[in-house]
Amino acid sequence: MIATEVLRHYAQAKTTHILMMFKGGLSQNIVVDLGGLLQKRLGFDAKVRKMFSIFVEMAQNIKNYSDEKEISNDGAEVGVGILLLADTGSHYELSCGNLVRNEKVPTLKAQCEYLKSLDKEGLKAYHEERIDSDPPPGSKGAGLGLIDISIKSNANAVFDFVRYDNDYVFFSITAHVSK
Amino acid sequence: MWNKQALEQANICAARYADKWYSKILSNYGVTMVQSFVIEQTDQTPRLVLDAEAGTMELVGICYVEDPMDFFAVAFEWMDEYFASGKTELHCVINITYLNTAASKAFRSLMRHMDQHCTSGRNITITWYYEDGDDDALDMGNFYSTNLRVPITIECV
Repeated sequence: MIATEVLRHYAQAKTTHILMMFKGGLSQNIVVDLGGLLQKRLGFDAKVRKMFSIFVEMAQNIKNYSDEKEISNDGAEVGVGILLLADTGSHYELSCGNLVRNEKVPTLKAQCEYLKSLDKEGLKAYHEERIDSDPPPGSKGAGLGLIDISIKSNANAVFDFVRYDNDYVFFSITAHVSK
Repeated sequence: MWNKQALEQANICAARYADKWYSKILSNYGVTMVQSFVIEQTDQTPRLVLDAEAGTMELVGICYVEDPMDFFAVAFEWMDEYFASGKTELHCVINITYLNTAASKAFRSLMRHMDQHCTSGRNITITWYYEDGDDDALDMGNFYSTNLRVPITIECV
């Protein structure tokens, strides 16, 4: 990579106020190490913890559900994606993105649309209902990640889908947390 | 780091099973014994103190470990053994600042397990501590206290 190209990355990170960016396979160890890096950089007060909790759910979402896979160092198959944390001055802006196979998109879209139709109280009620039931089929965690991201971001999370190629859609989430 | 923690936990469990044998002998003489132990905090698991003598369970820190049920299983087992030994009272001190969604589901199961012991006549109380201004920790305390037989006192640190 020549200097002008590196500079392009640098300038873009600078103008978008990026605090941290990661693109790659997310194993549990990487999630914890990125979490540790965040804590070293920003401390761990209540505001940071709120941002941190969204960050972890986004990371684990990629790890469990991205349809782009790689084998991590410890031999486990993990999902690949991108995680971005920016500082807008008044807020932390968190974004993540990963590939999803076309056939899974309608279900995921419906889930996101349902979450967007709820206000914070509605989201909390839905969370309570979900936490005591079995995780949805195909779920690798508690099946609560997207609900938690919506609650912690005060129902401002944006879910977006864009065509990637004939087989995949790029799914991304952006959420803001006040500093 | 995590492997070291897992190893320590395995050693603790092994020690407990050895103790089960002793406790069986002791119980023949009308003496029962439940072990007390501490699992120190790591970067992804909370500190867990199980004190059979004082009748307390203490949980402090954060949890976002990959398989939280593996971690909380120790608390489940200890509690069953503790009450099986004839104890009837348990006080839980909880100061959790962050649980990811998988850990919150596991923790919810632990609360439900406490509820079952309550139904069987055991006297369990919980004090949930949160830091002033930490709305998420306060919300968690309020959330866990709903639909629960075990009384939870929520206190600001």
